[in-house]
Amino acid sequence: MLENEKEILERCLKGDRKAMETLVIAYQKPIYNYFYRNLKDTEIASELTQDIFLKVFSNLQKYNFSYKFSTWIFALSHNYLIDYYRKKKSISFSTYSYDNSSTPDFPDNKHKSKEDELIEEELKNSVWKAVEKLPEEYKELIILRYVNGLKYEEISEILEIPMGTLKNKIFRAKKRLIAILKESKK
Amino acid sequence: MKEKHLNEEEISLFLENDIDEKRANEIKEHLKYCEECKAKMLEIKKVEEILSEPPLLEPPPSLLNTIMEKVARKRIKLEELFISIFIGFLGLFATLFYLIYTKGTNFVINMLIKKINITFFIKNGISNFGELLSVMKKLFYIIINLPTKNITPNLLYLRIAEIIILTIVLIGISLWKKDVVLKKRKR
Repeated sequence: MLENEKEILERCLKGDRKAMETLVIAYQKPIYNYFYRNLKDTEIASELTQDIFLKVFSNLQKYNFSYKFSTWIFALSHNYLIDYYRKKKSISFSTYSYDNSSTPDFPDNKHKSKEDELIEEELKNSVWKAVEKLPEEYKELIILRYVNGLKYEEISEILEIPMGTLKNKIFRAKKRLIAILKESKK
Repeated sequence: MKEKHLNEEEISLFLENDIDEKRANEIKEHLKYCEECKAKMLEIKKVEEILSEPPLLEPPPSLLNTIMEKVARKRIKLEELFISIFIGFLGLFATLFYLIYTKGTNFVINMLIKKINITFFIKNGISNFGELLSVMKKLFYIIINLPTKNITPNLLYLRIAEIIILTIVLIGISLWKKDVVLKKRKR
């Protein structure tokens, strides 16, 4: 994601504050959205993003420069999310707020007149609401692939699963997503 | 003869260009005449399109500053810990110096000469509560009035205990007072 990423990371290792800031600016949005999409809570997403960057800076000496930094930071985030789910197992995140009012990321289209635009927006809403209803594992796969725009190779490294298995799981996730969409139309 | 319907996984891979060219062409041909598969393809394609344009949230504007503040605080904490340990060790050396060059000189030299006694003491240690009480009594006596005569192996143990206690107290005080010690270093 960053042009001179290696150099920035080396400066971060030396404790260069400016380099650390550059790294945070470059990765805060994808990491924040990763947590937000998985947990659907802006406050928790913000907290977990902060924790991840603290982890990054205190464990940077363990980072292997032959791997992509994005893979490493997402692997840290994935493990952190798993820990978070484990700690909060009593709360069911798969049933976390689905009411129509809880979608701050979609613009309010009430004032728009074009019917097709409305339908399109409605469909977008339905798709992302359906993503929320996916089981945690499938939801995370869809988020890594589409929200974070990662390649299959990267996701396979982050989650430590073979490519074939990953492709199959992503397909199953999409299939389930379509099933949820159809179910919600009934 | 018509080819059997395409399966959804194949359609999905076809849409992602993740299928070999020969099969991709076959699928294209099939989609030309099979309305059912075409409808299935369009459905998956639509979902793919929506997923590919995710509505991304902007992180809170304060996030960067919060992270940087936490990072700085964590680094200061580490420095504080090292400084506290350093102060503790300074305390340890100061105590040793005090013991060696003031009232404990003869005692330390005697103990170095009589190494066997030290080994004997380590092997036996304190065996019962009564002995522990008497050791504590002696320790208290030593703290208030350090003796230089009649040095016994047990006294070495007491001296070491005294030094450890003093070191722990010093580390404790420095940790407790770390905010005062490092106040100027905090931004």
